[in-house]
Amino acid sequence: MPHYRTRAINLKSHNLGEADKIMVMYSREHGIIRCVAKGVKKTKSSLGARMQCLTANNLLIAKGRNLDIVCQAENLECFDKVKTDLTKLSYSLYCTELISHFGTEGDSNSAGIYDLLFETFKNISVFKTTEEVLWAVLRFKLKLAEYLGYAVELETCARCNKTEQKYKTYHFFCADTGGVVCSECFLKSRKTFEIDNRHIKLFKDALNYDFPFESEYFDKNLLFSSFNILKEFISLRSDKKLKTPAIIELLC
Amino acid sequence: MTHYSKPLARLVEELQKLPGIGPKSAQRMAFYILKMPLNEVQKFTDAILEAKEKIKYCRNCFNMSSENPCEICVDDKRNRAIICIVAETKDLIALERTREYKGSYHVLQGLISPLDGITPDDLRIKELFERLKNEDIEEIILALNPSIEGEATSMYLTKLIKPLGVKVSRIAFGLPMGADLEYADELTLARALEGRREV
Repeated sequence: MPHYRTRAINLKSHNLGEADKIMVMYSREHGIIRCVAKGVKKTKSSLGARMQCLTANNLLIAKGRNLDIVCQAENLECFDKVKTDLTKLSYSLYCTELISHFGTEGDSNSAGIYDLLFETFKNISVFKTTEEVLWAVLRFKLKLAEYLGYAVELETCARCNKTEQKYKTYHFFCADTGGVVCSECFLKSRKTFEIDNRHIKLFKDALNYDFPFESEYFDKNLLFSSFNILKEFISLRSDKKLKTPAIIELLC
Repeated sequence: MTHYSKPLARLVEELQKLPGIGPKSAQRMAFYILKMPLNEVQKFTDAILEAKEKIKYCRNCFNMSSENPCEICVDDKRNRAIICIVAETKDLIALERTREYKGSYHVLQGLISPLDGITPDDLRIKELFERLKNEDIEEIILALNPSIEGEATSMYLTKLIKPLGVKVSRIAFGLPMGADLEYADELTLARALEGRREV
């Protein structure tokens, strides 16, 4: 039976029969993969903890006729600190849901997306405050949009491609067109949010830095409004309704 | 299903509705049922109907039982000041098999699952707080699966129950009896070390 090796992060699982599970994972080499983890629900299964969601493993997988089978799993990172904090867990599951919605099998950008997800979970587990966690999630959404070909437009108007004439900076973000819009195009746009220079600076910095280095980035209102703008922007590009944002509001 | 006669096709179709049963297994079961003596089939269908009609959820702990309140809730020998919270009735049965626990239970009827859209409102959490308000509870034991959903539910309940001044504990995690330390994964070993106790 042919085998292959891959690094993958577990996204979700479905029960299969008595003790098996179908694992949905995002792999560095093949994008989304679906594999059967046999006997994983039994207490003595060596795969048990390694097949938990939000865990990164080095896997040995056997090719199957329908679904592949996980033969061996070596734990790379279990992101334990993410799993013991309700806020961190909720935001990490939001990232997981985005990957399972937008990830595809045989994704050509799989290495970049895998590294981005790994880095985000690693940062969330290290970060201590909600503001830092929000920064990590904002960076994840902006970078993911770039990988998917939906990069957010922050330099010129996303509708007319011209620079703002009336004011010094842009005052509106259109989630529908995916970027800032000038004061003229604002009237023709739908799903717009009011923004200011701080939002644009935050988006640009979040794309470049993995840590909120300036004190103004610890402003909860600014971070939450940026999170909501990008949430709407991402939701409009998903064919299915995202379930985790409602739970984030309820639990965090 | 054109090659089956109508009643057989219906039986196969109904059997396929059971979890984990595909068309091939449903066909095998249907043919087995057809070969069984009529009185055996009658006993089988009676058992299904009787279970469906008589088994209800206990109004107090939401355990599945033919009595309401259930046998555990009316048992005077049990300590009513301790509630063990489980996700499903099958978890309650697993704990009862140990014969170690002598308190009462509360069955949540599921776990919080952000990825499946299951929120606290979908579970019997409101009813648990009613019990905490009306009964004299000293301790809550969380006996939920060590999965992402179990962790989320435990953290959510702890956040809500702790301010009420009730002791909240969680069952220990670690190595199963007879397991080999060398084959244990990092997370299980870390949890086992975390929850170690003096002997």
